[in-house]
Amino acid sequence: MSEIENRFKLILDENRKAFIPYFTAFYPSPELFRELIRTADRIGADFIEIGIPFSDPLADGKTIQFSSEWVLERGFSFSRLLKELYHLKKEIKASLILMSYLNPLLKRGLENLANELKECGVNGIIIPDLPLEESDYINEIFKSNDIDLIYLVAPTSSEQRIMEIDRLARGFIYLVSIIGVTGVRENLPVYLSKYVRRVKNLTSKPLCIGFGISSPYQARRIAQISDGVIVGSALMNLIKENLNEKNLLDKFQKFIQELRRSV
Amino acid sequence: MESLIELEKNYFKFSRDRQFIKDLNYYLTNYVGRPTPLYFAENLSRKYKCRIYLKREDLCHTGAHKINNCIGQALLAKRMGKKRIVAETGAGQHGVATATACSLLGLECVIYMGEKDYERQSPNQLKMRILRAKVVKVSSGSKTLKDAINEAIRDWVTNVRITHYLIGSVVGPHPYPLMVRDFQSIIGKEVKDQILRIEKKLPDILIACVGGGSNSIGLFYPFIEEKEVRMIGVEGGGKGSNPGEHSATLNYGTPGVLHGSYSYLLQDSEGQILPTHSISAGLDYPGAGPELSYLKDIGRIHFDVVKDEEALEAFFEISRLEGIIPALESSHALAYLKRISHEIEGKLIVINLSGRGDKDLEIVRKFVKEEGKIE
Repeated sequence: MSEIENRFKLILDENRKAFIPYFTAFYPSPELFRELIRTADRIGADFIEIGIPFSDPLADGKTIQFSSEWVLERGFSFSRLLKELYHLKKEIKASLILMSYLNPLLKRGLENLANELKECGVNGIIIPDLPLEESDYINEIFKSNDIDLIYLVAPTSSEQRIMEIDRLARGFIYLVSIIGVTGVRENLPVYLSKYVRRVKNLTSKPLCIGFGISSPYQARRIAQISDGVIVGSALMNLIKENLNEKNLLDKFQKFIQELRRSV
Repeated sequence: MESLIELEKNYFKFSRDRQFIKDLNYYLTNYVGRPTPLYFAENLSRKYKCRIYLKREDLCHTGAHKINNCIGQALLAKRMGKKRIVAETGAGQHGVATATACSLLGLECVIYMGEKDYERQSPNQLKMRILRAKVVKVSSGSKTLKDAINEAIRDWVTNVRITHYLIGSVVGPHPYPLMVRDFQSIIGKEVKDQILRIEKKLPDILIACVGGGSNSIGLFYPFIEEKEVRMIGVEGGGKGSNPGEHSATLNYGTPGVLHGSYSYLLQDSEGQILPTHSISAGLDYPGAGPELSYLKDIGRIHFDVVKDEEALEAFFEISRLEGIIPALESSHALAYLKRISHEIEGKLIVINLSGRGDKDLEIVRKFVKEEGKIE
């Protein structure tokens, strides 16, 4: 069993649900980013997803586009992030999952990178623009470095695709709640529980739901029908709106704590 | 992915369907105005001491080759039961062609256009709106073609059940590069027939400009197996060879993945996509078609760059020698003549005049004010 699978076993044994906050790397600054991760860990995040900013984030809505551009404008370095994660990992309990579009990973060299990530203690990777059809080779590289490639399922995914993903997936399956891109939405889609049931029937892996989850209320509802809740844009939004506030970290802690509790 | 699989399946089905082919040919002939002439440019030929033919894609309805692909994809979308079309546009030529095809076939149309292009190609955005397309300004990233593509893809994945994404170049995920190439190959097929009829032989050299690569692959594809035909793709050299000064992906780029295909890209050492520049909005893209990337690697097509100023010079040269005002994109291909003038004496050359220059008059006027070129 992989590290993520072990953790999931514990979580499910304790009859809990996983809480997975997302952070754009080094947003809004390397120092604050570090504090945000520490806070998320302290309030009991099970996994922490860290997004590599990319110039062309196709699967992301306005909020994560903004945070990515923000970081890139101030100069982003993959090497510096890896160093940061290496140190952070030693002091936090949560598992680290990296999210990146394919191109920055290709540029760094997949085998080399998988090795580096392993050294840093990263346990999983999400690549939103990597289709199942092209994933075999990349899956193998990460697998041999004990890193789970996390597959995504969308409402449009066919039965056949979900079953194939179930066969290849390790760690958990990322269930995209909506048809579309990331970003907070007022309402969860009406078809959600039916769609989740459909996926559940086709897979044995833990299911975590992300995209569009914006409030503790929604997080609770999602937790009821899944094994874990992923929240990204709502957190990045809160940070964006309080960029110049002295009490950013307090506000953040209050909000993320509420989310954790409702999950 | 499911929608790409659906698209691939439908494309392979309908591209062999007799009625579909008949409909497509009907519109290409009666609406677009095909076949377009292969015009012997006598004054230009005299100047360069060779035989130069211009493939007059500028005479297509809407003023550029883009409509060939738009009619094809819009007909396909209709067969697939899609009611809504989204598309990106750089120079606006693809946007206008898409809006036109949508008006013709009764489809709802949304065009994404980078804010920078919206300003510099204002006649085209006006045309699109007249054709009742909704034009959405994109202000993220570099505010040009690549960001318009990002936004169009985001719209598409959000409204995928009723929407077809009508990509304008040989970029994006499979089956787009293949499908757009097929729809544009009519250019090369016609050239082959026409040149064999007129000159009784194949051309020595083919020249086309390359942004994403749709007009160039359209011209080149039917000649790929004709080993004796030299092919030259001309990219936007902009102001120079430093990052951000040009859009010459196949000359200065490295391989990577953008918009769902693996091809040459303009990117930095971290794999971030670089800003581009070209005087012509239609060449201003940091990628190039995957098939062109492959044809570069195997050495079948030679790629080179032409700078902004050289393109402008050619723009005036063709206007004054032949009475044809070319698009700034096509001016890049035309400018290459001068570059190879020492080695083309007596040769038979076909240049793809992919579009007309009406949309570029403002840019040219601005340049001319600075340089004092017009009498």
